[in-house]
Amino acid sequence: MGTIRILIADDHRVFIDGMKALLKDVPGLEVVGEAENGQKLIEQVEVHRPQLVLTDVQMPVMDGIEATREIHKRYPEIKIIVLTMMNESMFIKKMLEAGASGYILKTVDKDELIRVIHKVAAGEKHFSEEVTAQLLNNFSEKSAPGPADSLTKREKEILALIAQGLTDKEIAEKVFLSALTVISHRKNILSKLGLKNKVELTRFAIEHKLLS
Amino acid sequence: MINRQANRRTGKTFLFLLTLFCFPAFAQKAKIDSLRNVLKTQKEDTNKVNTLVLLTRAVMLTGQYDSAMIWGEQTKALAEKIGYKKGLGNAYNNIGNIYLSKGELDESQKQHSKSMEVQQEINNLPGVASSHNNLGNICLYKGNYPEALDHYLSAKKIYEQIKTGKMIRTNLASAYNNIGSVYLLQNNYAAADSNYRSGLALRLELGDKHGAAASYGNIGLVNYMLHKYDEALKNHRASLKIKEEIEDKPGIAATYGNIGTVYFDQGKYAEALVNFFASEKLGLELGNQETVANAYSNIGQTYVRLHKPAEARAYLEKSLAIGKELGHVQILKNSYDGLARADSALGNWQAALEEQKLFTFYRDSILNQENTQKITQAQMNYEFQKKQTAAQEAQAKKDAVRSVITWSGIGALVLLFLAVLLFINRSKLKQKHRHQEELNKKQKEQADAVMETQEQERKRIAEDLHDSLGHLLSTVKMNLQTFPSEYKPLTENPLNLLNQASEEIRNITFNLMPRTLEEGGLVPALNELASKVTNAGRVKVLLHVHGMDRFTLEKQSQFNIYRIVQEAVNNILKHADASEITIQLIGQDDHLRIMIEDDGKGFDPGQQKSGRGLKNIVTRSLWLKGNINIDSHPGRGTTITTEIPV
Repeated sequence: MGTIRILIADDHRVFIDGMKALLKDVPGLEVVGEAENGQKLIEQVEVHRPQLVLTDVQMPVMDGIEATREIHKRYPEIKIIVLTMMNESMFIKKMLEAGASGYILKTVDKDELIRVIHKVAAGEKHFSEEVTAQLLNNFSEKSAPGPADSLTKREKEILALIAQGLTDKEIAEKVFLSALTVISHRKNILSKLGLKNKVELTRFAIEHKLLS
Repeated sequence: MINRQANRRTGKTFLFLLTLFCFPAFAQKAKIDSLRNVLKTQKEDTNKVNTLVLLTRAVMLTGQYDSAMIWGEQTKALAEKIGYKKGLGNAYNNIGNIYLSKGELDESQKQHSKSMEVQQEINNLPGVASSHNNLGNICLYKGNYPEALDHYLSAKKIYEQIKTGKMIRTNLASAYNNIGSVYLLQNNYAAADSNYRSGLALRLELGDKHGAAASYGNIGLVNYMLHKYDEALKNHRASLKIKEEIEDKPGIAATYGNIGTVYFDQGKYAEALVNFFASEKLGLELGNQETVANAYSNIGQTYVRLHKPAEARAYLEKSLAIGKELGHVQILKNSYDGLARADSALGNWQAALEEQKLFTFYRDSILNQENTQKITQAQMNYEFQKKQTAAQEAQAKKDAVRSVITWSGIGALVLLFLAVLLFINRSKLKQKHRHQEELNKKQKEQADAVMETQEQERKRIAEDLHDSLGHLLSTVKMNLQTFPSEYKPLTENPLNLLNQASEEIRNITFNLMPRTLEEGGLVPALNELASKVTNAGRVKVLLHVHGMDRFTLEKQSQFNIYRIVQEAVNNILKHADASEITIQLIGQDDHLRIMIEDDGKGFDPGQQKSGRGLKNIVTRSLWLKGNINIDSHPGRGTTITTEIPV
């Protein structure tokens, strides 16, 4: 396996220079070109046909997301690693959808970076630890599978007490909340389940075996 | 630095900085009548235009800007119709001045630029110079010092070319004065001093007493800033002498104040007192509230230094009253500062504490304003210089330019970093007072503006931090890693520190303004927040969103809701010792319910005074017109619910 030819895109001149200095003496890697925005990156890709691209996300003129999408479409064999300061899942997701094979933060160590480059060039995917954690912990906005699952622990507890016929005030005393908060919980439950009143709530609790 | 602080405390009076023309209003009425009579008899020719020019000016000086504007437009129309360029230039000039009087700087600038164009076209050099002077004034008001300086220098150059004529030389002296003032504002005291002195020499030669008095005063001010107190006193005294000759009473009052301030800074409190009293007496005679209030607060401050707190208190109460009446922040700040010192000397700890707080509040609001101005000015300076550099050094070698940019980049970074620290520090204190402010309905609008500005500032700082410092740090890290491996024991520790610094910047940036909030909106941003906190490992955050797709929230509302949740979560992390946080956003009919629950140690709402975090939540909730309910029991967690109309 010969030398891996790399293109770097970043709108920070100093960063590109630093990157080139860092990779200069690494055997098996060669930086063949650079670009300060997404559009230039695409042009440079046409010229150099590298095996691998290291790109930032936010850049002027055209950002890394769009450039990645374009490069991935035209040259699916070119691997793209995102090298950025941002680990917000919104950007991670967008970059993955656009076709990136790796996502690492700019604080990465030299050895780790070289390892990731080789790994991705060999066809594997790589996401740094922080990035993976951020993705995994991301909660879905869509409601959970069953309607009962959309309720919180507290709401299930209160629903059971409503179904047992307790008043708001009685529930409040039992769960150490104020009646106002209990009423808010009840409203939330009704809203989540799309129900209208206590009778329907009671029926739901019974049907879903929530009467503990 | 210490002396500067003292200046602020004594309420330094910055007078006579600018030489602007001013005529007594009472003389105008008769003039207007006679001009209108002349007008009736005139045909549509250049004479009529000239009369209209004079009439517009006279009406403007009475403060009736709307009528003045009508006359100004008439002048312009007639001058255009008969093709009288000089008249047209004067018409633009008048209209520009009317806008300036109304405080509409941008429009004024446009008109004066047009005036300059016309004057250049007909090569009317005095007219061009006068336009430069006007444009310089506008730039100065806008705080754009470099451009103001450029205009004043152009005016000076033209006047120097023409050389002869009393009017020209008078204007040249003004140009020197204005140039001096810009340098003073830029803290370039040496240049300010030399320009003021050139202006002074000319004015003395011309026998212009008003002008000379102003110049002496300005030189006094510059030397005061340089801590050259003897020189300052000498010039203030010279200024005083002329002002007494020409019976310029407001000027005399100001000079007494300035002399007192110099003595105060020298620690000569008895002498300071004499002068402050003289200033007070004249201020009262003239009915000038601001002068009187400044004198009172200065007298109070001096008594504090003389260990006479009771006397100090009496005067400071008086300056405070006027400060409140005038809504004069500087006077309020100085008064509270003195009162806090006086009350603390008198053993009124409670009062002193309150006054200290209010002093801090006003000082911060002034500082905040100054910081914003400083940053804007730094930007303007930078942009102006960039323009200049580009023009002058177009052919200069690339490398030279690059090093300039690098250094100014590093300078900007340091500035930014300082600005961030200042901003964070200030905003902490500022938030303390947000609650009271909000309850006061009159200040609601202000609060709106503050909130929006704060969000914008946060965003800007976050972006700058991320873009500049963040990248710089990672670049430094890369550079360190290019060292051969035998240096590893040396580079290891810095590398670790750099990692921590980067992490810290990411956290600060995220706290200041998560990009997801800007670009993706409320729910994705809350997701991000929940995820970040959960990843940190101590507390698990659950987010439930329901029915949010039935309405769209305004951006400012989204930001406020995000900040409520953020504040609540931060509070929990800081105080609650919880293991789980549940955040819910439930949209129902025409309102949105936000609920933040934790299973931490709770508190007794009746017992505990609510901290800053809770106050902020309440304030923001009020801003959203929400009903807020904070429910907590010791040992039973806390539930915060707010229901806002949408």
